[in-house]
Amino acid sequence: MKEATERIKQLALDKGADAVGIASVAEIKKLVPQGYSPDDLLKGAKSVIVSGNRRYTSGTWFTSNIDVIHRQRAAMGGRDAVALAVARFIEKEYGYASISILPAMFDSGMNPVISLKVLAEVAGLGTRCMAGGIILSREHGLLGFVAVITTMELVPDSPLVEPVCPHPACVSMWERRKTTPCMEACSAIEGSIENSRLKEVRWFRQLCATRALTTMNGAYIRLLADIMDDPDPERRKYLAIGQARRYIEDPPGRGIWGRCIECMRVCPVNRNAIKLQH
Amino acid sequence: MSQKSYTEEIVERSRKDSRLPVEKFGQNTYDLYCVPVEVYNKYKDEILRLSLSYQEWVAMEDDSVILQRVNQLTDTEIAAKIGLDEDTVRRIRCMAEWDIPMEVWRNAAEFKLRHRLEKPLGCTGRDIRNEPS
Repeated sequence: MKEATERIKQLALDKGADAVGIASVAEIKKLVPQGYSPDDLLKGAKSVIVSGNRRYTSGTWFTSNIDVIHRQRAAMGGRDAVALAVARFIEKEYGYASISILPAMFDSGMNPVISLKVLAEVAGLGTRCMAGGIILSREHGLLGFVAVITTMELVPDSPLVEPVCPHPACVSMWERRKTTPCMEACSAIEGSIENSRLKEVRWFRQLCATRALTTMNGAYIRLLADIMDDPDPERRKYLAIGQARRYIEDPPGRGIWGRCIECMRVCPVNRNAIKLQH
Repeated sequence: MSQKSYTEEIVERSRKDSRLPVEKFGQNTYDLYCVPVEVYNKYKDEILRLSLSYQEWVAMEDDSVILQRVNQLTDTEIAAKIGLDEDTVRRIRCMAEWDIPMEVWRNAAEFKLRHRLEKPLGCTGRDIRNEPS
């Protein structure tokens, strides 16, 4: 089992993952609500292989052009390919059923079929941070995660022992000013720190959503309701073709979520990780 | 040859396969997907607060690195808590998630542009102040 675990992890790294870990389904079940466990998706699931890819190159973090930054996310298709390659490898080599789990697999509305954050946390790839409960890696900063749920028993990793967030600089800032860089940057983030540990984390996702989904097709659908609501045909026309149409003017990245990274741009953990790449 | 039109036949076959009760057939498009407006307005904020739309965690007593979720209820859990059925909760939640005023979307774009100008990580000679956000 140990050898198979190592082979699978190595395959994920060879296929382009920056980090990989194994989560035990039994451990995940302790943290998720009924209906959102790996074995609700695949009967008899025993393990989850979670891999993380850096979302951007270092240079991307340094540019100030928002369009350029968020279209870089289109290149993240490679991350999805890692999951598919791992799932097929397990089925072919070991004969165990496997499913690849990708971001934006929705149950209904914005609810995911399963939380990739919980999977990554249990696989030891990072810990939740103040910024919206993102799973932050000390080595890689912000990662984009994919996973493979399998009925194969693998050697699980454990959650990290020490939290990645808060960074000492954030603890110091909290002690002086009762805020952190991410909280100061974005009003969707709130929380508190006690004894150098996160005590409370609060995230207004629907505020974050307007920032993370700007220029996405869903944003235009929201606009459409207001366009139809206007009784004047001329005003309707200008609403449709005026500057508001930028909500659909991003064909290469129409389906891309995560169009705001302002909390991560100011995060000391993430900034250190970016530096490590130079 | 059947007296039914092709479309009527498709409708009939789709109803058979859906396994839905008879009273669910022939609804107008609004009723297929939405709840009455007054029900939506009464419950949407409460449902948003209880769902993943507002997420809250607290530190566990054992000092584990894993934080404990406070709200973030599933539709089933919300339904049990506020006394609605699960399908009604889901319909309300899925509408409410996108029912954020357009001003907030405009503000989102402005926030990103301004924050990026104030907190640049790298510097280029290009003036981006008038570029779209």
